[in-house]
Amino acid sequence: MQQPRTLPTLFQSSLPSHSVHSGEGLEPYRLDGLIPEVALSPKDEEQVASILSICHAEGLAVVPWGGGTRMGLGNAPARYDVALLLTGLNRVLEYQPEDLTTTVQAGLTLATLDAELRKEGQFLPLDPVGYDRTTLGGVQASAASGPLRHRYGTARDQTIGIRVVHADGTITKAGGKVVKNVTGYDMNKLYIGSLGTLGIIVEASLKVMPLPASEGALLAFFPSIETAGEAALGVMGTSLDTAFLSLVAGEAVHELPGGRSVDGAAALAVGAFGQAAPIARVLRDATAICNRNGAAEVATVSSNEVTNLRRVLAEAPRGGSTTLMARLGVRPESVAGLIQSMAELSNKYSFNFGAVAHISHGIVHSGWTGKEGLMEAQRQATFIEEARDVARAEGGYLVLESAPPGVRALVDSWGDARGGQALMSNLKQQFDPTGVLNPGRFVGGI
Amino acid sequence: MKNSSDLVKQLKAIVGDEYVVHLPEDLLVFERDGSPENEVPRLVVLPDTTAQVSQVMRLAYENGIPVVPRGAGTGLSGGAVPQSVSILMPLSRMRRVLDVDVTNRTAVVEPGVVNLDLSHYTEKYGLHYVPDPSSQKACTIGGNVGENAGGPHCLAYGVTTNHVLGLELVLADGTIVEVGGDVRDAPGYDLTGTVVGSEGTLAVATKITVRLMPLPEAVKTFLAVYDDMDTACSAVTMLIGKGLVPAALEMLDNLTIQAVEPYVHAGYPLDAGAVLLVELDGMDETVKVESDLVGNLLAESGAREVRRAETEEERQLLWAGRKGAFGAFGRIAPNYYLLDGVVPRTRLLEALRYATDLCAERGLGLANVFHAGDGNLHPIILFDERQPGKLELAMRAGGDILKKCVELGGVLSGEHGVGLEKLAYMPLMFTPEDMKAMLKVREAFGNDGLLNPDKVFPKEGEVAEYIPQSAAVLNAGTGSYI
Ligand SMILES: Cc1cc2nc3c(=O)[nH]c(=O)nc-3n(C[C@H](O)[C@H](O)[C@H](O)COP(=O)(O)OP(=O)(O)OC[C@H]3O[C@@H](n4cnc5c(N)ncnc54)[C@H](O)[C@@H]3O)c2cc1C
Repeated sequence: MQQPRTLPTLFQSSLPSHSVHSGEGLEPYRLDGLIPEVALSPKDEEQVASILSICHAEGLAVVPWGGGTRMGLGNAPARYDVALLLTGLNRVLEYQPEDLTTTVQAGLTLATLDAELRKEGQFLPLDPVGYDRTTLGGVQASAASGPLRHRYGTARDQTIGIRVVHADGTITKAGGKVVKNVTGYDMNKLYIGSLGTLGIIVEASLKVMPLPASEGALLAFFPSIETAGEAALGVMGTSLDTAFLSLVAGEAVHELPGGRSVDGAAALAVGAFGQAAPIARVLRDATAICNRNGAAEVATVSSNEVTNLRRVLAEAPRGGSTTLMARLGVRPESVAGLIQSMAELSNKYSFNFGAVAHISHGIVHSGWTGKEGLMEAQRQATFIEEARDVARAEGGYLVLESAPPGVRALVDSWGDARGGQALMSNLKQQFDPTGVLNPGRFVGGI
Repeated sequence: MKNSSDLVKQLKAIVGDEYVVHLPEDLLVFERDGSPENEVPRLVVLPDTTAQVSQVMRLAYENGIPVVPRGAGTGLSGGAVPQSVSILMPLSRMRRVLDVDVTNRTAVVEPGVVNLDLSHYTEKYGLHYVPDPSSQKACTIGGNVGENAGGPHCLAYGVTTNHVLGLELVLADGTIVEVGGDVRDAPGYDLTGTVVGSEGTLAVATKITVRLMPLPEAVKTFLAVYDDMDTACSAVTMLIGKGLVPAALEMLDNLTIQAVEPYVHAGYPLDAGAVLLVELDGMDETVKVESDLVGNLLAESGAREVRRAETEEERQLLWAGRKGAFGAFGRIAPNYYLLDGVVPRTRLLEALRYATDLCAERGLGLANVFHAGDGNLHPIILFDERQPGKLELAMRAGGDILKKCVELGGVLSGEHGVGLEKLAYMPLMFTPEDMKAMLKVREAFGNDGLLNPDKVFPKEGEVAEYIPQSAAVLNAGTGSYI
C-alpha cells in the first residue's frame, strides 16, 4: 500500500476547496495512461501564479488544460502531477468596439467570445476545429487554425498582447493593447504555438474584425484530387479576394453539404466575404476556373449556409469515429500531390482517409479510420512514419494531433524540428529550467 | 585582444581587401543612422555571403568584439549606431533576390535588398511585397526585419512580421541557423516571429523568405478637408467603427499643410485644420462599392470638402503632399524631433490635444502627420537647436508625450523601434520582470553582449524615470517621408 499523499493539501491556502479536485474527479484528466495527483481550477491569474510558485518549489509537473479539445497534440508528459484547468479564467476584460480590439482571459471559449463580439457586429477570425469548446488560450498555445486563415491569418496575426504566468509564478506581459507596436521583443510570437511549455497564457489582447456584410461560397466537385488541386492553384493565382479556399478529399467530401451523393474524389470550397458585387465576381470567376479544370459539378452555396460550410471545413476530416488525426504542411503547389500520395498510402493500409487542406498556406488536416480489425497500434505507427516520410519527401512535415495511447507510445507527435532545435532547447532552459510546464510534450523532448 | 592590424588582416582575408574600412577618415561616414546618435565604429566590414557573415562574426566573437548589423541606416531610433569598440557590419552588398516563386507567392531575398526594389522586381509577375515604409526607396528588407517596419499600407495588410515566413540567421558566435520557411507552421517555437523586430540583437538575418501578394486591380484615393483636427479624428473613428478597413488612412494637420503645400502644390487648402487621405484598393468591384460608401461617409463626417482622385496623376498629387511633408519641415524650423507613439484609435484626439497644449505651453512648434488608421502618431516637435535650452525642452516634451501615449493605453513605438532613443522609457511600459523575460530570449540566442549591445534594454539599475538623453532629431532631405 502506498503512503497516502498530501499533494492536494499543498494548495489549500491558495485556493478555495471547491477549486481543488482529487480522487474520482481526476479521471477526465487522464493523459496517455497517466493520472494527475490533483486538478486545480483557478479563477484568476493570481491563483495561477500561486499554484505555479508552489509547483516550482515542490518540483511538480503541470499540464495546463483549456477546453481539452486538443490534448492529443504533443507527446505523453514525462511527468504529470497537476492538471491546471483554465476554463475558470473566462471573462472579457475590455472591449471597445470602435478600437476593434478586446482583452480577454485565456480560458474563455471562442464561441462565448464570438457571441460577445457579434453583438457589436464584429468577430474574431479564428475558426479551428472544436470551436464550441476550445478556449482562446488553447488555440494560442497550439497555434490552431481553420479555413479563415486563408484571408485573416492565424493567432499569431490576431494577437497583439499576452500575459503569461511563468514556471516560477512570475507574471509578465508582452506586447500591448494597440494594433501596431514594436516596443521590445515580440514575445507574443514566442508563446503562441509553444504548447504551454514556456509559460501559461492567462490573458490576451486581440485584433477583431468587422463582420462582413454578407458571405458567399461555391462548392465544386472534381473527378480527381489532381484536377481539384489545379483549380485551387488557379484561383490562388488570381487577384480574387477570397475568404477561404479549401481543398477537400476522400471521406471528407461526403461530409460536405450535398457531398453524400457525389462520388467525386475531391471538392473545392471557395468563399468570399463582403458586398454582393464583389462576391458575385469571385464566384463567377472561380466557377469558370473550376469548369476549365474539369469540375463535374459546381454548386453555389446559399449565403445562410456558408457558416455551416465553414464549420464542416474546420471539422470534417476529424469528426466521428476518426482514429488518427494529423496536420501536414507543404508548399501550396505540393498539396494536391501530397493528398494523392496519402490516399494511395491509406489504401495500401486499408485505412479510410479524409482531408481538408487550406491550400494557400499548404496546411493539410487529415483523418483516418480503420476498416475492420486492421488498426493494431504497431501498424498505425508504421503507417504514420511512412506518411511522415512522404511529407518529408515533399519538403514538408507531419504532426500527429490525435491517436490512441498505444500508437502515441510508439511514434513521436512532432517528428523533427526543421531548424533551430538547439535554440528551442535553450529557450526552454531559460524559461523553465526545472521542467514544471508540460515536460516532455513538445518538439525534441522539450 | 589581437592588435588591430592583425584583425584587419584576418577580416580582409574573409571579405576581400576593399571591403574592410579601417582608416579614421573613411570610418566617419558610418557613425550614424537616421537618428542623431553617433559614434565612430572601430571597423566597418562589408560581407557578401552568409559564409562571410558567419566567419566575421565568429572572429569577432572569439576576440570579444561586438558586432552591429546595419541595413541602409535609415533607422530612426539609433539601432544601427555603432560603438567605438564595435565592428559595424552593413549588409548592403548582399542585395540579391534569390528566388521568386510565383505559384507559391513567396520570395527569398538577401537582407540588403532595398524594399521598393523587391516590389519593382516582382511587378512583372503581378505580385508585390506589401509592407511599404515611407523610406522604402532606401531602407532594406533586413532593416525592416530588424525593426518590424510598418508603412501607410500596413493598415489593411499587416506589418513586416505578417509577411515574413522564414529566415536564415547567423547567431552571435557565427552559427548559421535556418528557421521557418515557405512551409508554414512547422513544428517548434515560432523563432521567425521572435526574431522579427528584435533590432539586430538576437541574430543577423542573411536570407529572408517573404510572402508576396497580388497587385490590386483598382486603387481609389480620397482627400477629405476639415476645419479642425477634432472633426478629422472623429471621422477616422467613424470609418473604422463602420467596419471599413481602408488600405491607408493618413492625416496631416494645419502646420504640416502650411509647410508642404507651398512647394508641393498638392492642392491642400492652407487654412484647413487637417486633411485626411483615404485609399481603397483591391478588386475592381470591391473598390467601386467601397468608394461609394466612403464618399458618402466622408461627406457626412463634417468635412468641408471631399475630393476623389479620378486619374493616377491626381492620385499621385494627393500623395505628394503626404510624401513631401517630411522634407518640408526644414522650411519652418531648423530642427525637429520625430516621435512614434501609438494610442487606441478612440484616444487619438486626446493624445493630439495633449501634445498640442504641451508644446504651446513650452514655446515649441508641433506638427502632426501620421498613420491615423492604426492610431500610430508621429508628433513632430519643431525647434531651433541654436536657442539655448530648446533641445532639452523638445526632448523633455517628447518624453512627456510618449508617457501620455502609454497612459492612454498605448505604446512607445509603433514602427521605429526602441534602439538607443527610447531605452530609458522602457520602464514606462514594462516591469523589470517583463524585460527579464525578453532578456532570457536574448540569452537563449547566445548573445552575451556581443551582438548590437546596449540597445533596446536599459542597463540594470538604470533609473525608472526617463531622461531625454537622445532622440531622433532628423535632417532628412526632400524625397523621403514618414
Ligand atoms: C524619412 C524616413 C521615413 C521613414 N518611414 C518609416 C515608415 O513609414 N515606417 C517604418 O516602419 N519606418 C520608417 N522609417 C524608419 C526606417 O526606415 C525603418 O526602421 C527601416 O526598417 C530601417 O531599415 P534600414 O535598412 O535603414 O535599417 P538600419 O537603420 O540600418 O537598421 C535598423 C535596425 O535593424 C538592424 N538590422 C539591419 N540589418 C539587419 C539584418 N540583416 N539582420 C538583423 N538586424 C538587422 C540594425 O542593427 C538596426 O537595429 C523611416 C525613416 C526615414 C528616415
